[in-house]
Amino acid sequence: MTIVENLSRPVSDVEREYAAALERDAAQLRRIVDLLQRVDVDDPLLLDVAEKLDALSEHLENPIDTVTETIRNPGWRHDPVSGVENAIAPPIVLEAGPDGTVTAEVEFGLPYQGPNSFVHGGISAMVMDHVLSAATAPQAGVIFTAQLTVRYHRPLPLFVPLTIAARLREREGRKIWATGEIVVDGKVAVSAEGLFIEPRPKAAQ
Amino acid sequence: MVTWEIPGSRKELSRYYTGAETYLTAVPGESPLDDTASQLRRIVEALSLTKPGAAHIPLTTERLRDLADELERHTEPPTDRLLGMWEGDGVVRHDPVTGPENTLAPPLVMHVAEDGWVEGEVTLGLPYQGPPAAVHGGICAALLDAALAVANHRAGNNGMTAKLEISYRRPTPLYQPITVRAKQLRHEGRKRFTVGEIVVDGEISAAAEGLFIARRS
Repeated sequence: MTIVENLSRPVSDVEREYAAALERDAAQLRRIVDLLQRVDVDDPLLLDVAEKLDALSEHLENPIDTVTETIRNPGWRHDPVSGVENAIAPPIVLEAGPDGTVTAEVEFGLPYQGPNSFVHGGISAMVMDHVLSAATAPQAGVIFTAQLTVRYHRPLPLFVPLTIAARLREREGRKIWATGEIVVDGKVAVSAEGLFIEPRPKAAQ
Repeated sequence: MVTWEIPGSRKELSRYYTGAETYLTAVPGESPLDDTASQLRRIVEALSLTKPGAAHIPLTTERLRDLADELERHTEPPTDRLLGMWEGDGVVRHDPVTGPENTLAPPLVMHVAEDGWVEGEVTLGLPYQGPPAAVHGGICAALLDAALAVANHRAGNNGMTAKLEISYRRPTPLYQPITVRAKQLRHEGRKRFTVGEIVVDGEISAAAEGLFIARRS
């Protein structure tokens, strides 16, 4: 069993330490994202929280510590689905099996809600896009979605463990087809198929 | 400006008019919760832009943990909250794409456009990145699914997504305004057929076709 994240480029100890700190920050932020869905709209505490967050942003947004080039090396650590450093990611930790199947376990909370007590259809589509693209095992870690079809067979409940799986179906040059599904209680709730295009080797650098 | 907000409720009446535009989603306001969610978005973005090795990151963790602990004492269990957050009429304020109270949401604010279309403009930053400098394909899918649902709402008949097909024609760029638009083409019994697209600089970067089914009443 390989955590897909490990397929990213190797990192130094300093980078690893920094990444761990970012991951801890994201975990706390994720807690706040969730808690904001459960607090009273008019709770006076929010005024204080907003003020403290504002001060923290001022602190973080200083030019010395901010990258001038806005685009960071993409990878599995800060994307919006699996990125442990990204507070808006659940995050979905992907595991690659020996046969190339990519699997993940996840339970969605209130921030991911669409219809009352169910996962948002757009969130299911987002997850499918991401897990299918991971199953294409892109070289250089970059792949573009060309076509994605998502079918919703039954509503996906919040607060219930879900199993996600995806696999590569066919490869033809830079075109890769993959399929996958989200299973709840042994039943397929969402299924998807996608066509993905690998960038030309030169463009991937 | 005429609005019908319900104080203290998680929902507000939709289709309300502010000046020239008729909004179909919750409009970010001045409430403490909207403000806190928008400050949180700012932090998520700032962290994504922080230079590797910046010394203050560990300090940030402590401060965020303290804030989270304090907030936690003021919250209800999620399952209790579920009931309250659906009170009121109209559109929700907590949707992960359009909700100003949800940090995950950019948020995408949509209004009535001509000829049955609904549309909204949004600019996405690094937290929404997939391939280098481009919006994650899954985020495009989420934006489109939400936009199609808003188009159904405009047409006066909602449904749950049954099938969503998305064609990605070119990368959707970060840090550039993008327009997300949608329209319900027709409905037959409980089925609704709805299309949508993401437009950048006058060109379509992603197009969606959706089938939605209304719940049995």
